[in-house]
Amino acid sequence: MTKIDAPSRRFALFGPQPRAPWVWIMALVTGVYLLVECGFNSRLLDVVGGMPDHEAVEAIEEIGRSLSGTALALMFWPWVLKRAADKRWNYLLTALALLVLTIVVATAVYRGEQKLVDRIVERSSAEQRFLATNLVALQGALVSNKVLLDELPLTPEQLRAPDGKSFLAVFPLLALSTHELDQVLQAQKPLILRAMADQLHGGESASYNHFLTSREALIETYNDHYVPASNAYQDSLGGIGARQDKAWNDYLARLRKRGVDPDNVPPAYWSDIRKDVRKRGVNVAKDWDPGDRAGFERAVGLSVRSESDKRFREGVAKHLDGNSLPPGLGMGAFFSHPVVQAKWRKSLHYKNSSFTLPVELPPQAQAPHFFNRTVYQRVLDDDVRATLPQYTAPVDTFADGGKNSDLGRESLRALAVPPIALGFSIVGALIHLVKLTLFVIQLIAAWGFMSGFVKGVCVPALALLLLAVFHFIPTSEITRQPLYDYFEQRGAGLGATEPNWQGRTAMYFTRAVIHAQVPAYPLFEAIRLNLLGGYEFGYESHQKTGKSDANK
Amino acid sequence: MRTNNSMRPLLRAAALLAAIIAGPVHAGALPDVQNVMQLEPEGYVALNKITTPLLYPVHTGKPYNTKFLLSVGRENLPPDLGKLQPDLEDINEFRVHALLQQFEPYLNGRMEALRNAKGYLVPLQAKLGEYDFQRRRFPLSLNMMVTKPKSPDSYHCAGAYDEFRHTRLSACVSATNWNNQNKAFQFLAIDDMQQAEHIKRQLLNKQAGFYFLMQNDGRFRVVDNAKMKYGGFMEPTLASGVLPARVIGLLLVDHTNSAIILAGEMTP
Repeated sequence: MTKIDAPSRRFALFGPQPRAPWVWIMALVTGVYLLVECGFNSRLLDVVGGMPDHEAVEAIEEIGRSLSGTALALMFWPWVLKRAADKRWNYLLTALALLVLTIVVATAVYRGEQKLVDRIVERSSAEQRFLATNLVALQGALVSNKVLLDELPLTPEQLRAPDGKSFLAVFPLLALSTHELDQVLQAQKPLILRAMADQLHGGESASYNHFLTSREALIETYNDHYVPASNAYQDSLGGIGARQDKAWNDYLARLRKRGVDPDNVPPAYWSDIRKDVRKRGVNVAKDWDPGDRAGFERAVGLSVRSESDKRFREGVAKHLDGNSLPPGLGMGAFFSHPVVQAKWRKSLHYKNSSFTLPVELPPQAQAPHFFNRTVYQRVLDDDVRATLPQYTAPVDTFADGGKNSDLGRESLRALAVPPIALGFSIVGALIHLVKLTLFVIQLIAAWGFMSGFVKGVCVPALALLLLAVFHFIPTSEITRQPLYDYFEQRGAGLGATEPNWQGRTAMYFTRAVIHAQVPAYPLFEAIRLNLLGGYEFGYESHQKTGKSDANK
Repeated sequence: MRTNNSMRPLLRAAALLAAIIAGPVHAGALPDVQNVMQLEPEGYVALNKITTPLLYPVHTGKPYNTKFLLSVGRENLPPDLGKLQPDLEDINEFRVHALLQQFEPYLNGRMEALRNAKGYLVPLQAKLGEYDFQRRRFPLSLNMMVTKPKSPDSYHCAGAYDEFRHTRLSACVSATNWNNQNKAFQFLAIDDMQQAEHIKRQLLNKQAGFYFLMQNDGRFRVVDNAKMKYGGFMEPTLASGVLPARVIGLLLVDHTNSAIILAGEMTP
């Protein structure tokens, strides 16, 4: 170890540091965390750049907040571990201290991030919510590639690339500051909403596949469940006569065993006999005469019919979301029944449509075109018809208490969450990358920061510096487009006419993030797929593709 | 209703009493006959130990035990059939079967009469008090054959159509507009003391009796929700059904010649 005299050590940032056991622990834990954060970052980019639905954003946002909280907690771990070494704490106490610290810090960060988004949403104006609503739709339309921006045309390949995804994630934020955005979008809204609906349904081809899958699932339900249940029901009704005869003969035998004939039982004993008969499952009328065979058989018939009905209804309802159908339907009647149609449309997420989906398809070669013409385009028409009034509603309906207030808030949340989550994720990853580098230096060269405070300031600064460097590395074509420059100029004012430092900083790092993702994403995705076993981080692939759940 | 001229004052007196105890039920007019034998052609069947239990099979279509019915109701059989009845106890079942065939027309006739009856002649239990010489009348207490415990209601029940576990089964008639707390028919006014004495003697010697003339007042009700028992330990009987009927008048009948001695109408 190199000796340094006291005066020069006092002002040194870096100096000799021991290769203490806690450094090994921190290097290992930071390394593991970094792997998880990188994997999460790649998944997050897939989500935010892919027109996620509300649930998907919520799900990944929660994991993002938890990871950010863990990241900050890890920054305090060295302080605890050093104290544990100095005070000679045992393993249990040390683990307990780390656990408490992690829970407290992670919870605080989790809540803090949540509050940040909530505050942005709560403080938003009706106009911001209105614009957010339309921008989220435009974002979806861009993702579907059915809408192109003048002076920033993006090919599907570009949109699938890391910088394209990053751009889409921050696009609403960039465009929010554009002047008279609504006038620009007004004429295109039906087209935008149609494109958004197309994107939400996964596109024509994917929708056709989902349609086929759900159709097959329903045909299976018909053949394997409905038809057998219906046949069993009919068989059961066909056997009513035999059941009636048997029940009556059993009844007579029981009476005769007691020396009684049904016609000779005094009325004073009828009540007892009725009770006995009912106890045996024949629900005779309250004024039934024990000698009345027709009344007895009617009750047996009703009982058998009721049992069969119940068995049939329960058997069928299990496969039709708890709804039932009449028995004996042919395939055509089954598929055109409102209950089946409703389930089918629900499984395909055709929530705005009510027309009858066809079960009969033309030959395979014409089927996709037939589906597109008779189903898919009608679904998109219905979606546009249902959503357009909201997207063209007066701005004041998006104010608190307005009828579109919830839609506006949700849209603003959908707009704000992706960039925030992406920002925290990138910063967290960079900070822990710097930290890991420092731990490795300390383990190899026995050198490190002399002061914890200095380290606490320098590490985030170095991380931001590292990110800032990417601003100048033009890895993406997107940031070179004229429209991006326009967005950047408008965004520098954060809604105001003149640029300000907050807006400039935001736009500076936005460009840096787009550039940084080009080299980072492939590496992070490889980590996710190879080292984390392809973990989805709460974002299942069917959420993105709208996979049919008709067979569930 | 009219009787012979000598009975007219008595009729008027009884009718007057009935009017005093006016009830809410509309009474029908009494048929114009002088002898109870003339009542059946008018649609009124005399209820006795044969006809009363037959109300149950008539109104329910249920079978009945002919031998048991005849055995319990033998005293009400016509004399020619009454003589045959003891032979039904013969141990030769073929002879019994052949004998029963001889009762069939009579029983079918009774059932047919009951099926078409618009009313009934119902025997009563009567107690005649001491003659009030000042007011020239007897206090009269009437009851139908079976009194309901702790109740002013009474029923006419008689005979048995079958037996079940040593209990007789029969049917009853209930009065819908009368019970023994009703003020109707509480006095029998007779101005002529000789006649009064004569009637009292007839009643004491069972040579005369009181009867209600009743009309159908609802559907036959099967008693299937409770056990309506009567007859005590000696002749335990279960009522299988009750036919509601309303009283339209009171008759005093001479048992020796079936003549109607007096009649009082139940006025609304």
